[in-house]
Amino acid sequence: MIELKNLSYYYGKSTVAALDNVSARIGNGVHLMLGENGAGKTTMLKCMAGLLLPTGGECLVDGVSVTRRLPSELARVFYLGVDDGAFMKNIDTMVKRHALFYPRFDAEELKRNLDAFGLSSSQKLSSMSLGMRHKAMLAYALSLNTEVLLLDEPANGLDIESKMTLLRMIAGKCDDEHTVLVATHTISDMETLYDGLIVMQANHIRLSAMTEEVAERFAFVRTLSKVDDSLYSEWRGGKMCSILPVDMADELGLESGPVDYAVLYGALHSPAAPEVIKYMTGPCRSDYKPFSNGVDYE
Amino acid sequence: MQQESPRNRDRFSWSGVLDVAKFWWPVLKWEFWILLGYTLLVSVLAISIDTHVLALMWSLAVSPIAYVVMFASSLFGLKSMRERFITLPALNSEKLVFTLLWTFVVIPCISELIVNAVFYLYWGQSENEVLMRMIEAPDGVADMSMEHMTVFKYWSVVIMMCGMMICLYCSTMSRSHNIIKGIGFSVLVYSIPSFLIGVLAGLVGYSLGKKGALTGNVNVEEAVNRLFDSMGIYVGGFCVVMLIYFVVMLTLYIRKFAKRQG
Amino acid sequence: MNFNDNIPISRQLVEYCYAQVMTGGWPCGERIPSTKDLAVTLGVNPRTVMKAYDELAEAGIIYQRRGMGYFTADDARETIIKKRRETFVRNTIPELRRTMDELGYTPQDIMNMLND
Repeated sequence: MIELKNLSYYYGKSTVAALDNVSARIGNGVHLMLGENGAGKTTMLKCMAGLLLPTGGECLVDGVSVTRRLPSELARVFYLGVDDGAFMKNIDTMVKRHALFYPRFDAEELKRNLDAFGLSSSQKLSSMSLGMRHKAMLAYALSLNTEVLLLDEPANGLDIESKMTLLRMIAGKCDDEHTVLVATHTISDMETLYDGLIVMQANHIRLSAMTEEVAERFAFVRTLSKVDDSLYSEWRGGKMCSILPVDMADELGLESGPVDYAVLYGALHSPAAPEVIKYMTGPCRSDYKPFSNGVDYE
Repeated sequence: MQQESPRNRDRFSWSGVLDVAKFWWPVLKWEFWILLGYTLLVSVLAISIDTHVLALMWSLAVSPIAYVVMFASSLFGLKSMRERFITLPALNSEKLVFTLLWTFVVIPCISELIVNAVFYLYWGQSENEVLMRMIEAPDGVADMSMEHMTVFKYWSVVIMMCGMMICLYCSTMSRSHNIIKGIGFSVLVYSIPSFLIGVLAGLVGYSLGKKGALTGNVNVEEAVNRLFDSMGIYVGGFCVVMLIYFVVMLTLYIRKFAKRQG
Repeated sequence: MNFNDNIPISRQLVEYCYAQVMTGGWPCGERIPSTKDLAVTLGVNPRTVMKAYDELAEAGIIYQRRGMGYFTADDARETIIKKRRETFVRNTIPELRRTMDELGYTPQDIMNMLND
């Protein structure tokens, strides 16, 4: 579990906060971190990885602060950045000289991942295309089997088939032992995966909740015409996508589809945001209360 | 697949330092082999040519070595490696020890040991002694005493250490343009004091010369000796200052290493 | 498997499982993929698969054997057909009735269409 407590980060001598007093609790499972470029996603991930030391507040992984940069802590987290290219000649070299620092590295898993992407471990990374290199790094990152895996725009530049392969690989990491954070500014066809959602905006966390909590409070409907009294709606793919409180959807006899992250994201960036957030703290449909992230009030 | 008997990685160990070395080797091996190869080449060439020619060519031939030694730590500034290094699951102390050993022990040793080894095997003398012999070659060049040589030798070592230290510091600590900063500041730290000494030597020489001219006493050899005597003191002073600078930078490096930003 | 945007994923998974049983992809009385295996195959969150499996177990279509995994019930097909019939009577028929009224078709018209 990752805990952020009043985390702040200022780059260099800047007076503008890249991260402004951010607090959240992120449990096991796969989480989606949504936010525009510059909203603070990368900074947050880098703080969690121990790459950046926060200016204020702290970041704890299973109760231990990452800022101490102890090997036992660093071995539990792996960060793969957006333009993280290869840092060694090929995957074989990485296994020989880097994976030895990660006690849970699984060579067989690496082989399976590389095969799934159709790559070889001896191929020179510099001679690969951007997409191929990215896939190789993803294959490697996943095989390190760290408890926390931080992926910045992992689906970037991947074709549909590779995205599906990646999806399957990450799905294999959805258990009590792993926390995977996928940061992106576009929903990339991986919606079926997420346990939790974090929406970042202007260096704050706008919303941090489990998918189930969202699904129990909101109905995501697609209709041909606007639904009156919806909290938020937008035109998307030829249909009107709306967010309604569950009770209202029940009353109107409308069935909810899966949580639509794109629409939710739109809602949180619209004037309807405060309403939406208010509903998150309200009662939900069932009595079943999963592990809660806590919701941030703006 | 688990690694066998995991040692406690949260305690300093030399095998930890070795693992760090393994991590860096693909990058550092280039400067290692190039330095080794070039030094060997130059040393072997030195023993096979005429002493007079050697005297002229030596400083030219070895200056690349000096640069490589001074800028060796700039490779620690390579962006992708630097970031992976910060999050590498090894102790900060292990990482620190490795960078210091590489910069101040391994790299200088390659150049020094090889030259001295080759010279010793061939002439039975160390590099210093050989250089002394070259300088004494009868060419009308003034005879510098061993004492003078020593001070200047100390100076060249100290100023070199300062250059290496600032290069190491900038490469590892700075977040952007760290390699450029490392090499740039290194050049500055190396050149500015040397320039000042040069200016000082000029001033001292001028005032001594003026004195000599006024008294009508123009013994060149004695004048030069007096110049070197005075300069010796000044250079000695500079040595102390730069040594303090080195110690300060080293302390800063050690203290700030664990807290550098990625 | 392509996912529909209109129906909750767990429901779509349940339909998927029904299809597997009905087509014989999951033979009755035999072991079916674990929640994790199915999750990885389809690229969905194992928790969602778990929900679907819970629903199926409750309906008696699959059952869990401690330490051995999930199995299809021997009468799974019959159960599914029964469920489908219930849905048909509860939802499809009223829906058809409504549409008939809207379009002005009588039951006799429908019979004729079906017999063609």
